[in-house]
Amino acid sequence: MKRRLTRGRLAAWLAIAVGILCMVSASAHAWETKDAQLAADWEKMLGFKAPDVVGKVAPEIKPGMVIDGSNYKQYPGLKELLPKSLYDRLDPTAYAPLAPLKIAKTDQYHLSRGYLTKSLENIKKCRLAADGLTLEGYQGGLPFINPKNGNELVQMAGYPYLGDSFAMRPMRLRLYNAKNKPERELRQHLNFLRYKGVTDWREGDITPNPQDIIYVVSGTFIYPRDLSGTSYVRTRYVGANQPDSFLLYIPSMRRIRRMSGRDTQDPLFGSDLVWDDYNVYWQKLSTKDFPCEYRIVKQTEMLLPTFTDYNWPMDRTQAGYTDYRVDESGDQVYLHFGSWQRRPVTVLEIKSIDSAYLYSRRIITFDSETFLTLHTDLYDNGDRLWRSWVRDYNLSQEGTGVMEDLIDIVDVANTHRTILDFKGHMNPRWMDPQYADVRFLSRKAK
Amino acid sequence: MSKMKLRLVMFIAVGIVCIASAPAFAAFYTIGGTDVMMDGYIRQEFSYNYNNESTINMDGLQSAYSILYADVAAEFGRHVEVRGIVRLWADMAYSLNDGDSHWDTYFRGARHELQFLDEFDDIVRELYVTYTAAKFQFRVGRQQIGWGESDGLRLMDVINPLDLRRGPFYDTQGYSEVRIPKWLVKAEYYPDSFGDINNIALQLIWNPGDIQEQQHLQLPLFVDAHLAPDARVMPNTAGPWAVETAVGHDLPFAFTYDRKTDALRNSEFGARLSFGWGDTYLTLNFWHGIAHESLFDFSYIGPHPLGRTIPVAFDAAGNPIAFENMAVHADLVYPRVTYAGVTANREVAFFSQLLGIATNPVFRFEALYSFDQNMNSNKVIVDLNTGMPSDVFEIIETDQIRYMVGFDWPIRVKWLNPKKNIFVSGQFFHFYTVDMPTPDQFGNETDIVPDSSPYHSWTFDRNQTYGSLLLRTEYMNERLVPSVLFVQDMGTGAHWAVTEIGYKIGDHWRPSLRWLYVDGAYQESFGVYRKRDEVTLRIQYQF
Repeated sequence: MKRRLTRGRLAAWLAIAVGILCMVSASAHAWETKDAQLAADWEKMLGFKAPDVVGKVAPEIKPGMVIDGSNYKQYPGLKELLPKSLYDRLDPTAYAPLAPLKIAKTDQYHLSRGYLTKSLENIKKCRLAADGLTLEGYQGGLPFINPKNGNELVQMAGYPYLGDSFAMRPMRLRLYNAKNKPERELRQHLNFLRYKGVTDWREGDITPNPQDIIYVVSGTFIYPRDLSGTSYVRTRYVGANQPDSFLLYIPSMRRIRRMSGRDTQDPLFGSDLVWDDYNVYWQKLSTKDFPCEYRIVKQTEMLLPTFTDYNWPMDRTQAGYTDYRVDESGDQVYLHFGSWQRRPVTVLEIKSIDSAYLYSRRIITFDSETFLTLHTDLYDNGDRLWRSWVRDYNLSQEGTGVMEDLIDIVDVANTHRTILDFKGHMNPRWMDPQYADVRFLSRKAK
Repeated sequence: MSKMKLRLVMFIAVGIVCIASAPAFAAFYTIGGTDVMMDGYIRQEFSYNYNNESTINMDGLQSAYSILYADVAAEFGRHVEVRGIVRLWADMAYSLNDGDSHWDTYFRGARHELQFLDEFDDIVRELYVTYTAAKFQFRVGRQQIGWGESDGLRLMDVINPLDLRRGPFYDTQGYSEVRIPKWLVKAEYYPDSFGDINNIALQLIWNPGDIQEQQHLQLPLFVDAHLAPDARVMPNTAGPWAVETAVGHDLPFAFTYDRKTDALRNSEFGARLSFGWGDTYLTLNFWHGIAHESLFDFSYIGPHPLGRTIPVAFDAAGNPIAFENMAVHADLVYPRVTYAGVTANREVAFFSQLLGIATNPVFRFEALYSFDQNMNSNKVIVDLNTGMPSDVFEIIETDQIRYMVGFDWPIRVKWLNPKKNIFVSGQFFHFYTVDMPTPDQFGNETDIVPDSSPYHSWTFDRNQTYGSLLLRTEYMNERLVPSVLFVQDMGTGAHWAVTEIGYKIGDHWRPSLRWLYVDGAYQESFGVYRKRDEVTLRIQYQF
């Protein structure tokens, strides 16, 4: 009897210990700097920190609350705190309804020391050229700390903080059908290498760089079989009117083919991801190819997913972010961000001048503290909402490195959905130009 | 359906279901710190021929391929990769058609060769080790290397021969499934970019003597006949994409084979320099190798060494009444070939701006110069037996120029597909033979085909021209993928088209329906595959 009791107690203690561990790991959601001085300097550069400037819109919505399809109508202020495309998805009958929103306190985010230093240098050096779009004197960092107009703000999307390198291992494209049920999945290993404007771990820009490359993205699809081995190298140049170079290795042909660098408007392999939407906005800023008008719509605050921080070889779960997940077990699929928080945001509208472009306009929501893009709505040529994105980020709390985490892309018009699900290395130092030119394709050629 | 046939079909179906119901393999995983990637597929396909060309087609089930394909690559650190590809291939048509008199007459002869591919070379498709450093890459092992820019007809893609035993229309867009790998050493060096020159790679290839020949159904003759001026090929057979069979020979052959030998003296060498120059990507290619096709080196017509006879006289009813012991004595030789070529591609904005199209076309160009190419041509001699002129082969040497001009252009046609571009790829080919043979001793080049001759006049012009057009698009988020490939032989007017609809079900199932249509006034350019009109149902489970 005594022995049984001892076992029972042991089990109880174990249960308590496991519970505490779970709670501790769950609390890892808070993004808290590991470099207080950098955080202070970042605040000084911007003139504010996020926790100090939010809470004015719908103050009744507070940290600790959980908002879902059953109670969202009790909070009319939510309509102001969420983009309409997200608010509509709180309706449980909507296509791809949102998972419950757990409200957390607002964190202060910052980027790297090198990025900060170059951002400050840009105050004196960086400006828009006469064409109103080309950057002059840019050496890295935020092109503009306080963008005054849409043309300045869009540069944040054109030159976002990506670290000096990253390696997605893998990037999963999870496709869902009209019933919001799993359809199929694609996986690729994606590499990013910055040539110009390095800020994090490289001593200086990569040289020689006779082509004036800004950065290169390369990748290899590893799944499913009918895509496996397909590899590409996509090069972005400084010249505003120089299209990307796009080399593609096609395994069934055992050959490298040059593709049109302007072929950027088709979805990627059946997903809802368009080349020009990579990283929310990857359209080449150009005055000639599909020119646009850029306008700052407003500066406000919005509820958006809280950032995470974990690095290779850990994945999200191993790092304790167990409630950031894609749940495919139910009647339909839910994407759970661990928490949502108020963020100061700047909203940009991009209108296409050329009607041949696939979108008539885009609405992009920038986080005002990092100028990372957190949400976008994309409208077709009839000005109907076509696609909508929302995402968090995997941002280093030490200040150097970033990685995508979870991105939810919903094609409202065609009721199709793609969730981008990432794991990878932030700022891998082994990344070099071998991953950024024909050598990469030769190596991957199979 | 006989019990035997029923069992076979059941066996295939149960096999597919069992494999498909097993948990899917991971595509990529780590074992003891080594990254291993594995994928592959199981494929079952049935081709039904609906053209009643009695001697060359099987009216009904023409093929029933069962294929297991596995591709495994292991990376050891960041420098070394080992990769192997194995493939098992069976054609169940030989069992399913067993007992059919037509099948047994015309196709049974290839059963031992094609029912089960059980040779080492057939099973171990590729096996190589790659070492990669910052400026170098070495790859050693059995591999295939695809040079060139062309689809549908090969120009600079000269390193690996093709396995054409299943015809010229299999895997015509990629050749990966039908190239015959070779044991090769490949080294690449990557200099730094300079000026406008970028993405530079110098590739050197050495084949230490693994000489592979093009694989054909039965007799390996003249698939490259289209490269030869005034070539004589077998009655109603052979052409640019086609292969020869033993059907309809008038005389037996007695070959003194000069088959390939895996000797160092048969080494092949190649070099390619590729680089970007501004917006243009170029390659300069050189290959000194051994022809994939044997040539027919005629010796004489005389008694068959095994005493085989042929009918030489017939009664009014056509029955043979007299026989003669006679054969064509010849060697099969594999001459050296030397090619130099250039390929180029360039994205051109002009046309898209002119036509208001969102995307630019990429123009492709490929040219090859063949030095002193050995070709079979006809020669008329005096038959020692009859004293009559007799048409035989000789080997001539001539240079040849081959080039292709083409484009790839993804175009949005909203009324046809509002959500995805239509990929349009067009090509024009021109082969020009520099030195045509001069008239023979009898002063003519016309066809002389005496009864005792095995040859039939089918010639190629000095200028040969071909064209192709590929259209492909995707619907339903790329689940439904229709495509059409049309190829025209402008010299003969013959053409073929492959229309295919593929469907993607989840991550694993890839069924497709394919329709091959061969037509034209002079289909002989497709050889035994003329009128090979067939519908193919493919069921593929990939893992």
